[in-house]
Amino acid sequence: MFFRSFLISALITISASAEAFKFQDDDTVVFLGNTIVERAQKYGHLETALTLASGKSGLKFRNLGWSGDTVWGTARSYFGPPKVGFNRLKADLAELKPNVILICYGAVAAFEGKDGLPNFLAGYEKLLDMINATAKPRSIVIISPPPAESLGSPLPDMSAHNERLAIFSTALGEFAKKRKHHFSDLFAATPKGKDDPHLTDNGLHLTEKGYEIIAPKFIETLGLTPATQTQLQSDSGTKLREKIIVKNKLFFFRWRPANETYLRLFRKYEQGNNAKELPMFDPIIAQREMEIKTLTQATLANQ
Amino acid sequence: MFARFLLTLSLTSLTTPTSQAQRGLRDLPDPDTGKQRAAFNLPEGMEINLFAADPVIAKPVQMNFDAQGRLWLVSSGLYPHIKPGAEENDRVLILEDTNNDGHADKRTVFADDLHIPTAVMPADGGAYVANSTEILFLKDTNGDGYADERKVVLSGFGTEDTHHLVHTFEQGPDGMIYFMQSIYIHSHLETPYGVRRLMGGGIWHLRPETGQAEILSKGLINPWGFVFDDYGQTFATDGAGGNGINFIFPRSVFTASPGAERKLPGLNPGQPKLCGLEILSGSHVPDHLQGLLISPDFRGHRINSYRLNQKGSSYTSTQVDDFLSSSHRAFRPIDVKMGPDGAIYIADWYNPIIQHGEVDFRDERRDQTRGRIWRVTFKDRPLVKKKDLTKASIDELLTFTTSKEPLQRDLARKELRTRNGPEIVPALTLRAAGLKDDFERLQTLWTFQSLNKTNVELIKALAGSKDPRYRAASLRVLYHRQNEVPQSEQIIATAINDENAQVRLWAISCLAQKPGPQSVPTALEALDHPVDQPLDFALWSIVREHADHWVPAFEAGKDLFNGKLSHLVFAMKSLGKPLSLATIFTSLESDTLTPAEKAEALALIGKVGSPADLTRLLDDLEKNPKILDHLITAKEIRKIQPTQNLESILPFLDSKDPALFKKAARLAGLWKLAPARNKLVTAFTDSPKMSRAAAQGLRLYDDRQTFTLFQHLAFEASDKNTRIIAFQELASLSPETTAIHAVKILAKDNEGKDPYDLLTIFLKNPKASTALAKALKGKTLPSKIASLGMQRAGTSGKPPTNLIKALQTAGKLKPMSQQLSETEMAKLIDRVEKEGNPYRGETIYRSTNLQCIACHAIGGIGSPIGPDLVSIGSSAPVDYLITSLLVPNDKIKEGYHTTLVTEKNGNTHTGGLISESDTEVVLRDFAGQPNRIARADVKTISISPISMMPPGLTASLREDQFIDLVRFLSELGKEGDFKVSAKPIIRDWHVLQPHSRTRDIMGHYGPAIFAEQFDGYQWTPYGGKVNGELLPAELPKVEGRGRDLWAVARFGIKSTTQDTVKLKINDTSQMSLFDGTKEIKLPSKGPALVEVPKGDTAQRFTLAINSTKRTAPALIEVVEN
Repeated sequence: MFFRSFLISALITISASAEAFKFQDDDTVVFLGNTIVERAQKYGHLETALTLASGKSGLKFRNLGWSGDTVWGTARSYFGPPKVGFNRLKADLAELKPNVILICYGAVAAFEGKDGLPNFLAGYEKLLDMINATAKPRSIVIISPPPAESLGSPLPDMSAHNERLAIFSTALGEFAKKRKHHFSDLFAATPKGKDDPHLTDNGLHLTEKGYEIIAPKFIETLGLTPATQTQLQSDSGTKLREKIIVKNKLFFFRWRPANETYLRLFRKYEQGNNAKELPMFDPIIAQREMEIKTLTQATLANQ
Repeated sequence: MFARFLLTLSLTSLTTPTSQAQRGLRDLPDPDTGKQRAAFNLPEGMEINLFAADPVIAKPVQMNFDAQGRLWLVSSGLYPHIKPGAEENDRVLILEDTNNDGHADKRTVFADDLHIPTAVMPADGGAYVANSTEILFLKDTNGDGYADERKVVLSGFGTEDTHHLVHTFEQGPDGMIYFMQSIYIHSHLETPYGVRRLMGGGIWHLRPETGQAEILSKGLINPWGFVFDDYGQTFATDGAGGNGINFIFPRSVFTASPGAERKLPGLNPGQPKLCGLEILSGSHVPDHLQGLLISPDFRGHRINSYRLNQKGSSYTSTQVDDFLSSSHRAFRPIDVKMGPDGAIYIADWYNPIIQHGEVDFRDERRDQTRGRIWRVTFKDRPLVKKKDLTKASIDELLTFTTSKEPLQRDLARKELRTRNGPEIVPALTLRAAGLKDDFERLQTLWTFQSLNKTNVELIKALAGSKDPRYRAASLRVLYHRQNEVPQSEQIIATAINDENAQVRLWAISCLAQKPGPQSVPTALEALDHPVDQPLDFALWSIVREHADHWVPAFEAGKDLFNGKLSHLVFAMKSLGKPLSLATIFTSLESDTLTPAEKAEALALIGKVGSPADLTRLLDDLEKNPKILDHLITAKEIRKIQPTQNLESILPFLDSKDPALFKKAARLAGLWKLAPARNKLVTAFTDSPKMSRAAAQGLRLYDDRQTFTLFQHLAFEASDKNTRIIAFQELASLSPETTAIHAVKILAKDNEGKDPYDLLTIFLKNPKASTALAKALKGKTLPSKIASLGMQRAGTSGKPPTNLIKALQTAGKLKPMSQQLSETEMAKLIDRVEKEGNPYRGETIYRSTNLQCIACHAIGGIGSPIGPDLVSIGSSAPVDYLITSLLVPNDKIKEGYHTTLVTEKNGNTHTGGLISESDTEVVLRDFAGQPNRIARADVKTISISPISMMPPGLTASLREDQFIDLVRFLSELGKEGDFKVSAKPIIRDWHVLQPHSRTRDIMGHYGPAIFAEQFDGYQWTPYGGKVNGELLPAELPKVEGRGRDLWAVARFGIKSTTQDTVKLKINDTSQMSLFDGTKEIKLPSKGPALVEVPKGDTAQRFTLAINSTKRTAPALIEVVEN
């Protein structure tokens, strides 16, 4: 098992490095997916790693992850059917106009097993079509979900789920190739040997440490070179990640505010006036991003 | 007129500028804790002291005790919404009373960077905290008291409304953590067992060590308090619903659950909104309070009490005297807990206003810094000795798990979970083996379960207990752990036929956990015993949930139901989908069925049968005319009809019974039955009793021939009635061509009553309303009919703006909804307080032309269409009440949104959503009637931002009347004459409408004629005043002898465990009272107390008052012995 995954990730690294993923200065980069993506914003490791490895400056990351979400937008739908969630995402993308979108779906669909695969891929096609029509991003990266862990009783054995995840990951690789998008095989790249440390605490969801461990692996799947430990652990590196987390929170309050029913939906007659506060987050976010830019430069200056 | 009154206001207000910020602020109560303490009304023997207060704590939301006896609470100053740039700084606090004097003397800040945390549960060596989108586990690993380790346990909870966030942790004796989410929240949780999604309100349980989170129950508007009783049954309260205590069992579904086809009622309809819930227990609590469920009525500044009695599979719940109340208007009890010293702790959110969407998020009256914890004790009752269980040995802890102090048991189990050492389970197993007492067995079984272990012997012993409550408790454990119990199948198979209904209910729940071809047939054995509502619901639910398991076996020809037709009929009816009906038909033909069984079987065929099956129904039509209803539903909802012999219905078109004729006419039209057309035309023109039904049937043919007929009759028929009906039908078919004429009719409608119902016809869809709007151009309408039109148009889910404008112009009306300026509002509030008279206001509220009582109930008595107003005054600020009356769309309560259904043909329907299924959508219309719409016809369903309450209802009031009405509403629920009493006063009456027979026979038989079971009498619902008084003069005037008029009303009493109860009557003057037909002897005047046997037959008593001779109100209270 260990040997096999090592081989695969080695292969990926080689093939990916042949065509390293390219960012441009001031790109708006959207993260899209389910819990794995949503929780990434809490810890900032993935974003910090990308910020430092991109080779560009002024990247603006927007995390649109949502627990339990699917390619159909199921979890974003609030009071309506999934289609409402899908349209909500469409509106968000139209507003953000991202240049790069990193998408990680499949962990939820994999629970349905092989039978759910065709429906999943059909939904993914629709999602990509919508993204291309709405946001016209320069690049899309399709990421496979990380593997689950069997942590021993009383937590469940996840080996059956991992078999399903493997099927979905392979299919996602082919799908990315067919759609001519970059494929980041996080499933293969995630260390999962017996002697590797645990990355999750319920078998499914990465812990803060888990994100820290996979961050450089993820960077490598993009054919990029991760920042050094010295850089990451430097004073500015630590501050950079803290600042990214703060910025992510601010964006969360702006993008996915609480009390949506009153601010923008069917009870806006009562509190819709308070929606005027939402854009007030924008200058604060912009200020934090200026600081992030400075901290990025300072961190990269560490050798 | 109101418009004039507004004008006056704005003129006078020019000289007295008042800013919005000040509005109502002068009303704020004194925050001094001593003054607040003095404002409590406590029953004899009760004492209250301040345990903790601001600034040590602020805004407590939920609290729970830990194994050391410390009180943990979450508090939120961020609520209701974070301000741009603000820090997340909400806290988890730990309060300690180190010297046991009843006051917290130590406070520890455990966490201070949270975002509107709404639940905290110290457990497992740290604390679980609900933090908006997620549930966290926080832990202090270095002993400095501050949490330094943080883990996300679950994420994906919605935040659509911060007063509905995932909230309120309770740890069950089973070790699991139970929590709630409310109506607007949609949650999507990824767990290692798959994704769990819950749309709307509901109750979850989580076993932290396995990561398994599951839904226990769905619905309730804002499920809040949750408790386990001593036998493992669970109950919940609703912070926005009005059903008091709700009995919660697995898969139960309650009000407001999105997409639910069926919902269970709560145990106390008409109660105020409640949050938190606790059972009074432990040795410090006086005997007469033991076992009471108490729950804060945060609007009414009081804590309500309920006594439960088991009835069938569920309970009756009776409200008894308040636990306590306060006249301090900022006392907002929102959580209540038994403490480790035996006292009762109350979390007081402290706020002069309640904190929902009706008050602006940034309203300055929202208190963000105060909060109190109150502690209730009883004189002459020794306190429980507090124990620090973290210092107890394992053996001591195991002993505490069977303590007589319930909290000690729970905290001991909590501590055992934290220690989690290898020596615990062997020691526990050893103890379990020697237990003889069912109480100790159950407590020990729960200790196993709380450690995520199962003891099979204990389950077996309890399943065989003599006491059904223990049998039910053992099944609840089995519900979660049957895979670990080899004998589970056998235990459940026995339990499904248990003599106790609640045991049977739990057997069904267990079966629901393990789908298989036999799960449904086994469950349906419960049908051989009495089936009450929860049982019927649980059976209906399992039949549907397990359809993929039993249906294939049935369709493969297996005799799943052991030849029991009633089981098969129940299964098919519940499933509601077509399956082979061969067995049913065989039984019908064998003629072995009782009439009731036969009726059930025929109804089933109508509900699920194929067109060919429906054809066979026609054979029975003559003997069972009810089949006409089944066939109508089959066509309207399922869009199918019999394949042949449609003419079988023709004889009914000759029927002299208008009801039968109407159904046959409708069917003929739905089927477009050619041979019926001439019969319908003849009936339309020649028999006045049938003409409307005939015309409606004819309209359904919807063809040229019908159109020509209506066109001809509408203008040429000699009979006026025929012309009117023909015109209505013509307008329905073709609004465009009839709009001009409709305007002519409306122009003559000076009374504004729309007797021809033209408004309904033209508001049916946008095409029709546009046609009417066009036809109104340049025309004039009487103001009354124009105003009615605007009201009706304004409350349809998608108000036709063009028509509203046209009506406004044609009627020369001012815009209906009036927004008051801030100064006008301030002035008006002032006058409500200074001049308003709530007693006069109640009379105005009750007057029929104001329509309030047509839609609103007070304390459960009245119409279910709008929100119950029982405590509106103690919760809503006066400005809210005024705006609600003037601009209803600005203030809509959750659960009362209008649902808008648009059909594929463009027709729209609006109303409150009753239920949804694959085949139909049912709305409650403006008359309170269900309106069924076939799913097949539905294009879209949406929540409409339009209130069902029409604007302008108060436009007819004089200024002083409006002020009185607002004053009355503002008093509702406050201490005083306008708070619905906890006493069982009769408020739910049915009154006799005048009938021609009474005058003639009264002389012979006296008032006894009112108590007779005479079918011709018409009894209509009537609610007494808020204080329960029935006003004789307000009732319909039933003629008696000479000039005497009588007020006659019937009522029933609730079930009771005692053999007799007493009726306490305020004054018996001019009054007769009957129990059934038997007269109860009353004194000729003055108060009376009469004893009657128990019995909850509805409308069992008849009360007759000579209303010519008596105007004084009557009041009857039920007094238990």
